[in-house]
Amino acid sequence: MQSSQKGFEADMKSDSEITILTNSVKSITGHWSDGDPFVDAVEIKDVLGWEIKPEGLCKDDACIPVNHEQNIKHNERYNLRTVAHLTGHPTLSSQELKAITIGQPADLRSSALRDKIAPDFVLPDIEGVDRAFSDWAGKKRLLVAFSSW
Amino acid sequence: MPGWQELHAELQEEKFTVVAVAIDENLDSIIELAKGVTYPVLMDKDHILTELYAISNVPSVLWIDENGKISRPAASEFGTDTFSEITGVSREGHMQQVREWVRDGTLPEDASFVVEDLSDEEIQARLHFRLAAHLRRNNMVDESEKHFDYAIELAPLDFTIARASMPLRGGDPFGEEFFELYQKYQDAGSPFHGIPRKSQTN
Repeated sequence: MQSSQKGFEADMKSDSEITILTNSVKSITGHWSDGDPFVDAVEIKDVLGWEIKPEGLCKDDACIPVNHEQNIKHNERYNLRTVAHLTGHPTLSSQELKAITIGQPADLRSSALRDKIAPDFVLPDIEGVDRAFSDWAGKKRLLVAFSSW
Repeated sequence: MPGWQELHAELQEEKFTVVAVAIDENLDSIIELAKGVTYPVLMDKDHILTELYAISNVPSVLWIDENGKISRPAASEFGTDTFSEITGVSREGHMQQVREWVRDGTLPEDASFVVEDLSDEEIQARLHFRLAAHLRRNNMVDESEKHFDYAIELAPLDFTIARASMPLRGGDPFGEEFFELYQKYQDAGSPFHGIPRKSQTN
């Protein structure tokens, strides 16, 4: 009882907020170690869509093997920065700001440029309703990137 | 926007739509620009599209077919002739090409152009920009400034970074700092992720 209480206190001490900037903003509890954010497995799935399984990182039928040297686990949590890299996302991590910014998978962009496959995306319209670009699949689409600046 | 509206109205019965994405967080300005527009206008305040499609300036226009294939990659095309004297691009050539693509599936020669991928610096610049914009929204101005500076250092001639940051930092995207940026961009040979103007067929 006493030792588990101690362990609980130690965990509490190291627990910290982590703000995750992906296509949306999310703040969760995790911990930082050597500048890297560590989060629960469920957050890995929620943020990146990849599940941690005995055979590695898995999504649909595909699995990426993870070896021990990659050291993705610490105190029952997983290194979000490393997992993001293993699954093809660029990152920018700041322990000082308690924030990690995770970019788009690089292979989506390279297949857009090389194989001409248009990556799908979801963004709010000016009424605030989320729309997927694929909502207009079946039509020819003129995709116009513009701005007020 | 009115120019794209004309094209959209003309072709919307032929399995065609314009989809506009504002690389912008100023909703009021975009609503103003979108007055009278009947095609979808989406807000991309975090510049997801510029990373996903390697877009470095606006306007950038891509043609996507019924099956989600990119028929013609990014090019700077205009819905109006407002800037045609500066840019040397008139809208009509491109609009005619779009009509032919929609009606007959004809593609211009430059449609096979392969756009260069983003460099690691340009990718990191986008992440710094996204973080800076987030910090700014949360009133962390000093930290925000630092990351805008990092972003511009990494991609100094990318308009979706350097120019887009101007209004977010209290600057004027149509003022002196824009003209300085445009001069530097031209001096560097107008680097652009898209079909270069000289090889376009219109």
